[in-house]
Amino acid sequence: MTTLTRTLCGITLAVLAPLATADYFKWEMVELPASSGASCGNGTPYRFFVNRTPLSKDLVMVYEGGGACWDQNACLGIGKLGATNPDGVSPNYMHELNNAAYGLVTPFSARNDPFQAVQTQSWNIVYVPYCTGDVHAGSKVVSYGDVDPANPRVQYHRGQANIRGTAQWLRDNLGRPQNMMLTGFSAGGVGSTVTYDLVRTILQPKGRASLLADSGPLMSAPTTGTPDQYPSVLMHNRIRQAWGLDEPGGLIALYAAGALPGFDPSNLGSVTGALATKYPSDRFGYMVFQADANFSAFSYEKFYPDIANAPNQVAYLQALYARWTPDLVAWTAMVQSFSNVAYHVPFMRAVNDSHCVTIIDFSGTGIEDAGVASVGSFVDAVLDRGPVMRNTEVDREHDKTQELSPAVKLFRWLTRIL
Amino acid sequence: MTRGHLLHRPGLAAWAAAALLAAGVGLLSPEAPPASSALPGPLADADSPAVLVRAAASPLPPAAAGTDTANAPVNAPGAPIRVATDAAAHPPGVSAAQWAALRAEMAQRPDGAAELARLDAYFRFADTAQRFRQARLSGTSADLPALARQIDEALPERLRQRELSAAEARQLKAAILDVLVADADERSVRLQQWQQALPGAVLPPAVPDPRQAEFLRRQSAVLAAWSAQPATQRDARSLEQQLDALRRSSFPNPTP
Repeated sequence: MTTLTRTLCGITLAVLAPLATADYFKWEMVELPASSGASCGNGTPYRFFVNRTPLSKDLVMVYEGGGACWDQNACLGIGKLGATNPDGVSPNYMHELNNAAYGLVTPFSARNDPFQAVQTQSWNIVYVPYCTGDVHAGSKVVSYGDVDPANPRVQYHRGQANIRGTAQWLRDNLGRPQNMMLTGFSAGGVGSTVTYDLVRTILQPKGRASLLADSGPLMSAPTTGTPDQYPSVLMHNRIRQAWGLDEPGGLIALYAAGALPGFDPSNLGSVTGALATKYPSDRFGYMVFQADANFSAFSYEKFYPDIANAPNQVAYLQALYARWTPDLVAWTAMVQSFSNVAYHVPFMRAVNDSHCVTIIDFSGTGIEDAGVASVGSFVDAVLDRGPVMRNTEVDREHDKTQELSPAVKLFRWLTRIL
Repeated sequence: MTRGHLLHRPGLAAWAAAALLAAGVGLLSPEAPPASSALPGPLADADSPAVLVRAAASPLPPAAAGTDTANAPVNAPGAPIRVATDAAAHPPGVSAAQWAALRAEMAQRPDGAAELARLDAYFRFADTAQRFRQARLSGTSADLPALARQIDEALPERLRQRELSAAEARQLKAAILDVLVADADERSVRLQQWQQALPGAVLPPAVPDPRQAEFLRRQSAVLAAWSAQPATQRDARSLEQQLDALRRSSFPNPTP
């Protein structure tokens, strides 16, 4: 071995040092100890999964989505507005085909995705399963007996402890990352947003830190606002109580106590702006379809009788969008006042009720009238500190007839056979 | 928030209904969707998560293994191990210096030789997968069948090594079949066969956690005792503390 080679080896090994005992490029399961407070919704241990690389010090955390709950049936995973993984996360989770989104999830959690390339596929990847029904944010144990009082469901809304424990494990075992990105879809989009400060504080990335939150917009909704003004206020007020967000140790209580200056504890939606203000060098990217009929259903259906009791699907969607559209307009107006916040709001994609922009692949996610072919360029702009892209699709025709990619066709086929 | 529509909602048909919506177009107003013929079918019989669990966990006899894979996997047990043994002959996707560093690191491990061989195989697989993706995206079809076969041959071993999640492997298998099998129905059948064979053929079945059933039994007892108290004496914080204590005693150490 030449001196030069030895020197190069030494330099590279120094970079590798924190990962010295790792099995690279394998999905390794990490189970958080019960003493950390971490838990799945049914009280079983919380587990997450790490796929390390010796070639990068960058780190991406992918927050899984899968509904939300604040009543017995939903926490048991019953009904269309239920929460995923009510029986916990098995040690073999990554090697089962029954996880969220039929396992198709996002290109951010697949290094060898045959349909979609993203630059974070070469990073250290952490997959953060979702099993608490609280958008990864709660800190309360609740006994739900509204349907069957004799056999209540004990629900551990322990999302915050799960994320805190995950971040601490990563810091202890992988060290400080160079660049860091948090991403998530649906409930994971909300979760990656509301726990961004917590994770960033623990990991302390040396380089760039970014958020790509998919289809989990935190609407502006002051607690004292009216539903006419702020359609999401009823849901926000319900989850604040159900998930212990305002209680000691709860996320809102922590942020209000000074962890997140600029956060208005009376308005959960103010998290978005407070993050942008606290971290002016970070980049925050939010994505959502205008025709999302899923996140909107979780936001309003259980709180508005005209939606819940709509006589037919047409009336249902009309009532749903009557809240969703103004909420989304107000949300884009709110976030665009922050110079490091970008958003990508295409019209629709004819899969999964236009819910989630980054799952499956990036086909059908363009905003053609703004010259944006797909969300891919938005993702790159966020990560590479390109232009702060803020686009809302105006055209209503293109998306209805756009060609579906093989990956989307696969997804639709799977939904049929399953 | 994803789950409802993915697992339960027959409401992809919602678009069909939405097609009837009046086109009240504001800045963000969603309006009519594509014609119903372009819409996906309903999620029939997918109303229970248990259905999905059963489908994924159905064991198949070992004979079902390798339905789509005629040749031995790369670096399968007993097969000759192909590995770059010196720094100059590094696998694709990794520089000479990086490979030398990895070799030095693996030399410190008792299983270093096998681990280095695994990494070598993985790098080659990842390179093939990347070229396959690029060829598909660029529309250059000449190399696609050969690349697809290479990935297909390597897939079981890479999955067995836990380098791929099951979902990622399924995506790869679907993409492979898209190239190698012209008939769409045949592709569906073969993908379904592969999926059904997956748990028994490639991955060991998940072993139930024996701690879990005992924990749930004891949790029910704690809850019953708490519920039996007069309503005025039920303290939610006390219940939470009892349950946390139970969790700590039930799961004292992480699963190895």
